[in-house]
Amino acid sequence: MKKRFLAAAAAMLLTFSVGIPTVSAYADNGYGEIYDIDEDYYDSGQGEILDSEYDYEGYGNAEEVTQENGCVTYDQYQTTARQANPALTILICIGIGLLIGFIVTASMKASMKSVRQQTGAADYKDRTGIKLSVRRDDFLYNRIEKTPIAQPRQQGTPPQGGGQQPRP
Amino acid sequence: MAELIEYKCPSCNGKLEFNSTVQKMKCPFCESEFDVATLMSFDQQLENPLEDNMNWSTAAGGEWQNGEADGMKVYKCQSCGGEVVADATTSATHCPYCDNPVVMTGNFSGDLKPDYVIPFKLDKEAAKNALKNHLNGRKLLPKVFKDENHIDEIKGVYVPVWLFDAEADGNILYKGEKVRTWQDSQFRYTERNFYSITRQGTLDFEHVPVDGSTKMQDELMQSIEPFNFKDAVPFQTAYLSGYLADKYDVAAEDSIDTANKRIKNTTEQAFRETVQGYSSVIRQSGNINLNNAKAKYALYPVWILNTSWNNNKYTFAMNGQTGKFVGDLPVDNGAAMRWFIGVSAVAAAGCYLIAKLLGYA
Repeated sequence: MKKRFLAAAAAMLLTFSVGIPTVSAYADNGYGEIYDIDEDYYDSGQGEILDSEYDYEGYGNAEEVTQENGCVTYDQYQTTARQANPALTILICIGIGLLIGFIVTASMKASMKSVRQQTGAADYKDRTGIKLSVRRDDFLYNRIEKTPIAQPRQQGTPPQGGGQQPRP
Repeated sequence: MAELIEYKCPSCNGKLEFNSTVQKMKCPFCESEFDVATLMSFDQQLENPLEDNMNWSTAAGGEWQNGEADGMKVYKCQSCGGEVVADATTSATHCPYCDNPVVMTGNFSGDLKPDYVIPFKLDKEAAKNALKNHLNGRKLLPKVFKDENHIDEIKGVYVPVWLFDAEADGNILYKGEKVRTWQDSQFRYTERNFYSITRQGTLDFEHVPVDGSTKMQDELMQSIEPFNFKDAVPFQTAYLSGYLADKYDVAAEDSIDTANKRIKNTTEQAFRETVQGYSSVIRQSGNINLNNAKAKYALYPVWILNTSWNNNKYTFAMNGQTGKFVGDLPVDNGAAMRWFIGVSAVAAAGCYLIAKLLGYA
């Protein structure tokens, strides 16, 4: 019993711990736009041209382009993902600790109770078990439901969310 | 006068119409189609629900023979009113249920003679060891419970029980659903096939015990089950020597409801287990009748311990045949709080350490 709860607590700990950066890392908007810009950039056949040599149509470099559009570059995104918020982390750790403490204590309290009402009489049924005289399964009706599958994204079309039906 | 017959759709409850094209009953609302014969059979079963029939023969117990009960005494508890039976040599000083002093009131007579008794298989030492094992490793247990003085309070009691035998005859109708999914390049298909499932059969029960004493908590008695009836012997007063025996104060007729509920639950569960291969199953209707239902009166061996802590009484019980020991233990709230704080602190610190190692703190 004790081992089972320790294992569950450790699993929860790891799950929540990994979840901490995920919240802050994906908080930025416009990640998709960066992807589109990069894709167009390579599609234009200028993949080997360095940032400094690329024509940003009036902007100094890629950072200016993305900042103007309210986005971040991939490098900025990577930096943001690693930025820590100590206060939030401590709060989350305390919350997880309290939750684990509650689960462990509650399980210890539950183990103090061993008196339970019996709702059945399975211990007293005949060893030969149930003797069926009628065992019939009759087909009644059927129903078929059709759900459209989201089509894969094609070049030049806007991205679609999973599970959404394509527009007519 | 002509009678208008309507069939309702098992799927959406809409009014069904006969479709001459497909030669089937068809629902105009959900467009489900039904075979006429199957539908009529299903409808008939739904419209004629049978009531449960659970009648018992409660002619349990026998008459005492002349002189058979002569050596037995009755002890009256001034606190809970319980009448405890023991042989004349037993020195009963406390009620086994409420632990209050009992006084001898007179010779035992009247009432029914038990049909069977399961003699004690385990002695007081076994009960002491079982209690020690029960208390071991309980971190939230107040230390006073581990005091050896409490162990000496264990008493062996024959508890009166009504034993119910019956053949449960069940007829249950279920509605089952099988789901199949597949897909092509454009659509994902889900096919739901619905079935009417009929199960009829019997399940025998033997010696389902129901506590016949109000002083013995029903839950406590049920928690030390099962008792194995193979060790039961015809009742003899000699088996009471050295032990206490309680007189039944709940009649067999008043115990029937409890037996019925337990038998019905297990019968329905056994029937349900025969319905397999479906994604979901719903019980539509059904009934359970009891045949050859009869009750017997028996005495079952139980070791009982009463103790109190913080003005609360705690009763523990051990099955005198199998050794199964039960009893709710008191919780030391101070210890519980210390464990909560300790575990929470360690878990929070561990969590923070992991976050730091991963670079998130």
